[in-house]
Amino acid sequence: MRAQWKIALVFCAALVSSSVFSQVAPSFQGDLVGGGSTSLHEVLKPHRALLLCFWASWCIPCMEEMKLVNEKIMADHSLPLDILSVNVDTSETSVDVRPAMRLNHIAVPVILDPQHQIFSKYHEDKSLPFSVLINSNGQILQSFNGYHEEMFQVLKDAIAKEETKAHAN
Amino acid sequence: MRTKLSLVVLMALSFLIARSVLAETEATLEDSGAATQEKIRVTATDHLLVTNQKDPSNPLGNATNTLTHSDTVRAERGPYSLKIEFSNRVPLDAKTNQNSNVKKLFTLEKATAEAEYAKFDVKLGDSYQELGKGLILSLYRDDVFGIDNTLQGAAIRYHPSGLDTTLIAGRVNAVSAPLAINAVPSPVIDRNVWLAGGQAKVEVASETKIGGQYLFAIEKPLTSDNFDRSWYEFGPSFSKDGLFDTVDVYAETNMITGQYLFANKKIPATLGYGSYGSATWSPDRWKLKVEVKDYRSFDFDFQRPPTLEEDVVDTSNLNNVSGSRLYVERKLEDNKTSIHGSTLVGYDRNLGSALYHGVVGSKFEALGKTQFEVKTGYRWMPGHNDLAHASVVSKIRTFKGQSIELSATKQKSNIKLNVLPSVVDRNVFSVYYNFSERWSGGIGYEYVPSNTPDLGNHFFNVNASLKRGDITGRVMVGQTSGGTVCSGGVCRQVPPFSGALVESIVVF
Repeated sequence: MRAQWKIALVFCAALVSSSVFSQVAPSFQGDLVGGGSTSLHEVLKPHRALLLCFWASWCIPCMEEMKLVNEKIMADHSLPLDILSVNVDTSETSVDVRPAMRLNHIAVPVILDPQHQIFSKYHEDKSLPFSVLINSNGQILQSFNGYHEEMFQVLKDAIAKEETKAHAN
Repeated sequence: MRTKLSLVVLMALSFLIARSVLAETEATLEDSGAATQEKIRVTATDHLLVTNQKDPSNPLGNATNTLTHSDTVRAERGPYSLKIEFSNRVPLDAKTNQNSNVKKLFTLEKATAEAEYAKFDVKLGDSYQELGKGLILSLYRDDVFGIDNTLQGAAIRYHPSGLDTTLIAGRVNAVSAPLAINAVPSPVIDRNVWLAGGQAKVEVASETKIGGQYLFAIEKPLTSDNFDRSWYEFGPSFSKDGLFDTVDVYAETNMITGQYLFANKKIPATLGYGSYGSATWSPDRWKLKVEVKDYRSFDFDFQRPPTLEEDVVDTSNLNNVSGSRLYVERKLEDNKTSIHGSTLVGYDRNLGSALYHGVVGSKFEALGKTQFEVKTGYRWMPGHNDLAHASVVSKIRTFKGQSIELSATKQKSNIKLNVLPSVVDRNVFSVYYNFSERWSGGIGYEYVPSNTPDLGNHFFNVNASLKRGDITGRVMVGQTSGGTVCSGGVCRQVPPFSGALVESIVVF
């Protein structure tokens, strides 16, 4: 019985310590669909946040999320926000990436990550869809696990809070 | 027992202290006004798995309690990064668990130093590698089966505009203590395989690339200083995207040859071939995809070629089989409904049998905002086996941010590979309630009437998961039936599970 308590103690220590540190966005570099490459350093711009959306061609909720991104988030030009998506289809399904983009009218830039080199840095769990909101200093403000209709509002609130914080400094 | 636990506690604490020191470094640099790229960024992931598992072959025996723990720490500064991953696996009940292989108090699993620039990157240490579409080499990670194979050596990629080249050299390194309940023995453990190779792709016209890939591999037994097996693999590839705006084409063909030592004589291995091609036409709301594969004696352990059968089922033969598949998908005007169907015709050379597999399915919304995904199919190898499969998944929205997820899957196969025909009938049901983005809970039930009484026919389990910030916790108590499990185009037979599972992932 004492053994279980010790394990629980280690686990609790890890939980407590995690709340002390803020998480920084791991750097990445990847090839863009349509040619060229980009990196986190290139896409982070002063006073603008970045929404990084991970998706796959076979993932239905991902397509719903991309639709929300296309129709609501990209359309709101007042938001100081850039969007980059990362496709995580493996080589088995990578031929479906472009057709899925056409079929679902995905207009955001897409990085290909067939070996999950970027995905595994951001999301150990590797469940989809998954998105992270990163501020201009490269800190993760918010992560979205799964598709949620209220994502747009949460994004707006997080960006507004970040702007207030920046003005205060 | 006490010593082992103290060791794990000490390791966890030292990890937390190291992390806090690194975090201080990060804060200091940030406060000093250093540019973003000059900061040291540190991320760490702590993964803990505690299982209480019964041996399926001895259901009356005691359960085995095992704690597996791994940490991945990654530090980066500008284009440079350093990553280490270590694991500890500790049997918690030494009296009942006599399997010394289970105990691995500390293993440095992976270590990588990486430099990424605009046109080239260099990786020293462990890295995942794939040449072409994984026909000649695929070193990858799959968390379902606990597979984590890397190249331990050097990889250099140079990719200026219009050119993409990769050179690799090193040995294959398999994870020693994977964190997975369905962990399967890695074919790499206790082997010593060295690789050298590369690939190059040149953009000869707009979105048109031609390339080639090459791999040389040698193997020596752990007990010997002499290499006794070698492989050579090579071939060209071609891709064209946006042909007539809506057609994407890919083709790759490879040859494998090699030799092995037998009675001090070098014997040439069977010459093998592996080819894959696809053409996808995706005009508005339609997708038509034709795929062809032809693998003939294309036998190398570290590959993951396209299967054309990601739907299911029992794709154990990946190296001596041919097939072609037509897939058609139509999305309706409401953007919420789609229907799809596919048909596969192939030939399994290992069994000497034709292979047919048809699948139809649909995704739609009905009964308010309830989403449904239904799929059914039939796989048939005349005179050998057949399999009927069907699945229904639905998501019912209840209150704001809440939903019920229901799923039911049935697989019934008739296996007549030998003189004693047998039936495997597997029925899996689950109900989950998502209370919020943060936590969900549910129950699962599996009914396997074809099991013998000692294996049991009914399997119940209760699950809960909680996500708070960067912490994810999961608990599962009960049983799962095991059987054929597929992930990422790879299928494995996994044993039944009985016991409790506590899993946590903490990202710092």
